[in-house]
Amino acid sequence: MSFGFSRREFHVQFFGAAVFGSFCSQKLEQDTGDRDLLLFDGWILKRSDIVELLASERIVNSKSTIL
Amino acid sequence: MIVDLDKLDEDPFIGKTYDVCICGAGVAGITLARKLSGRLRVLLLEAGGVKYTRESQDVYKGTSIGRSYFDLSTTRLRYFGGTSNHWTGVCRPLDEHDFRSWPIDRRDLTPYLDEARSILDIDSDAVGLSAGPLDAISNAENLRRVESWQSGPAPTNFGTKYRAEIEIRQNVECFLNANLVNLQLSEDLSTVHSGEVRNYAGRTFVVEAGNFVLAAGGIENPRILLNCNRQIPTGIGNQFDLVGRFFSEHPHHNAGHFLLEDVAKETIAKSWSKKGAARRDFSPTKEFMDKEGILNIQLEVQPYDPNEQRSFKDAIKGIICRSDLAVDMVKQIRGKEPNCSSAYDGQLLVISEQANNPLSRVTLGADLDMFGLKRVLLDWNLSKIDKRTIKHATIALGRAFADFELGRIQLAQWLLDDNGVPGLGVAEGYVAGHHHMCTTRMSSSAEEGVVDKNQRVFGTSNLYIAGSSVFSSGGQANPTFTIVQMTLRLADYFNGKIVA
Repeated sequence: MSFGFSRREFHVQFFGAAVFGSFCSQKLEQDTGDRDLLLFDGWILKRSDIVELLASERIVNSKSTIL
Repeated sequence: MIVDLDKLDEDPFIGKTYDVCICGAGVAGITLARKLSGRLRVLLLEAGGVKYTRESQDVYKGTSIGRSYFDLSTTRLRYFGGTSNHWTGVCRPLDEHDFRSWPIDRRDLTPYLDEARSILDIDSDAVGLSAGPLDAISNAENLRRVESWQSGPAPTNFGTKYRAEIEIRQNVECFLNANLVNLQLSEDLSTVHSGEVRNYAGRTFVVEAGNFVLAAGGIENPRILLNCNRQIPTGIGNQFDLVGRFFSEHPHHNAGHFLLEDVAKETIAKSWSKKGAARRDFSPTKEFMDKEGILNIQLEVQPYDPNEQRSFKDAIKGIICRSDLAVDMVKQIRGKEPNCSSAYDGQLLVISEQANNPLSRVTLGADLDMFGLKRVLLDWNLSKIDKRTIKHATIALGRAFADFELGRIQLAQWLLDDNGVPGLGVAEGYVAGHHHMCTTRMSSSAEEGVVDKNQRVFGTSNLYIAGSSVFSSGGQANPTFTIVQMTLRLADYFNGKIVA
C-alpha cells in the first residue's frame, strides 16, 4: 500500500509517538496472525502500513493492539 | 372545530360521550384524529394553545438526575402541533432488524409507508448527493449505506399544515388549553370511565369516551400514567413497575477523525459544492451486528472542505493534535484541549441505538406543577454495549477506509479502552437527538412491556398510547416517520381494519 496522501503526515505522527515511547515493535512482531488490522495511538491501520513504515523509520518501544 | 377551553363559559362536555378521546395534538395525536373514521366521534385535547405560551411550557419542567441531558422544558414543545414545531425534518423508517424485540415487525408498518411519506412531505428518495469516493464503503463486507429522507421544502409542521383540516372535520372536536390531569377507572380498575380536564383558569371538566389515547410524547405519556394514582397507587399500567423504564435516546458522539488519501481528497475537492455535500452515512450489516453482539448505529463520515487553505499554524496544530500525549500537555498548560478540527480531513460522528436499560427511566419527582401533578424526574443511563457498539462499528469503518484506499481513521480517545459506558456526547447541545422513546414499550406480555401489539395498555380494556414511547427499541433512525406509520396502523385498528 502506498501512502500517497499522508505518508509524510503519518511519519510525523509515528516519529512523535516513537519519541514519546508509545510504540512497541516487539509486540508487533509477536502479532503475526491472520488479522491484518492493528490499533496504533488510536489509528486503525493495516499491518502493511506498519511494515512499510518500519522499513523507513526506526521505531522503538511501542504499544499496539491487534484488533 | 377547534375551541379554546380557557374562553368557554359553558361546560362543552356535558351530556357527551366520544368514541375516542386523544390527549395531545402533536404528530401522533393529529395524525390519529385525521385518520379515524368519520363514523367515530373524536375528542382531541391539546394542553397548550395554538402558539407557545410560558404557562403551558412550564408544565414540562423537570429534573434530570442521570446522564447529562437537555433541559426538559425545551427538549419538547407543549402546544398545538407538539414537537413538530421544532422538528428538523430528517427521517426514515426503522430497519428490519430494529424490530427484533418488538411483537410486530417491519411488514406490519410497510402498508403505511407511502401515506406516511405524504403526511410528512417527503418527495424524493433521499437527500440528493452526487457520487463521491466515500460511496465505495457501500461495498464493504460489514457495512451498508443508509440514506435519510428530508421533509420539505420546509419540515412538516403539523400545527400549521393540519390545523385547517382539524378545524373542519365534522367528527373531530379539538379543545385547546385542555390539560388531562386524571383518568377515572371503573370499579374493577380495568376500564377508563372518564378523564378529568383542567384549563388554565383552574376550572375542571369531565370528559367521557369509549376509548382514551395518550399521545403526549415519550416523557409525558409515562408521567401521566404515573400521576393517575388515585385508584392505583403505583399508577395505571404499572403493575410490573415498567411505566417509564427503558427511556431511550439516540446518543450522539464524535467517534474519531480521519485523514484522506490524496486521490480521495482530490476527488472530494473537485466535487465540493457546499458544506456537508460529501457526507455519507453508513450502518453495520445485520450479520455484523449479530456476530459482534452490537446494536444499530449510524456512522456519519463528514469530510472537511479540502479546498480550504491551511495555515502554518494549522500544520503545527496537526502535529500536536495527532499525538494524545501532546494534546494532554497542551491541556495541562492551557487548561483546555486544542481545537483539532483543522488537523484532520474530516470527522466521524455517530448516532447510535441505545440498549434497553431498565435503569434508564422516567419517574416522578417531589415538585408539583400548576395542576398539582408531580413533575418528571429523568434518569437517563447508557450501558456497556452502547460503547462497544460505537467502537466496533467505527473499527469496521476504519477497515473499509483502509481497504478501499480512502485514508485512515483515528478512534476518539474515549473509545480506546473497552470499559464503562460512552462518555458525554459531542458537545453540550448535541448529546442526543431529542428523541424520547420506549418509556411505555410495546411487548407481547405485561411482564415485559406496558402496551400490547395494538398499543393498548396491559390490564385495561380501552386505554391506548401513541407515539415513540411505545417503541420496543429505538433503532438508529429518527423516530418521526415510524411514529406516523404506527399511528396510521392504530387508526386502522380503531376503524376496524385490524382485528385484535
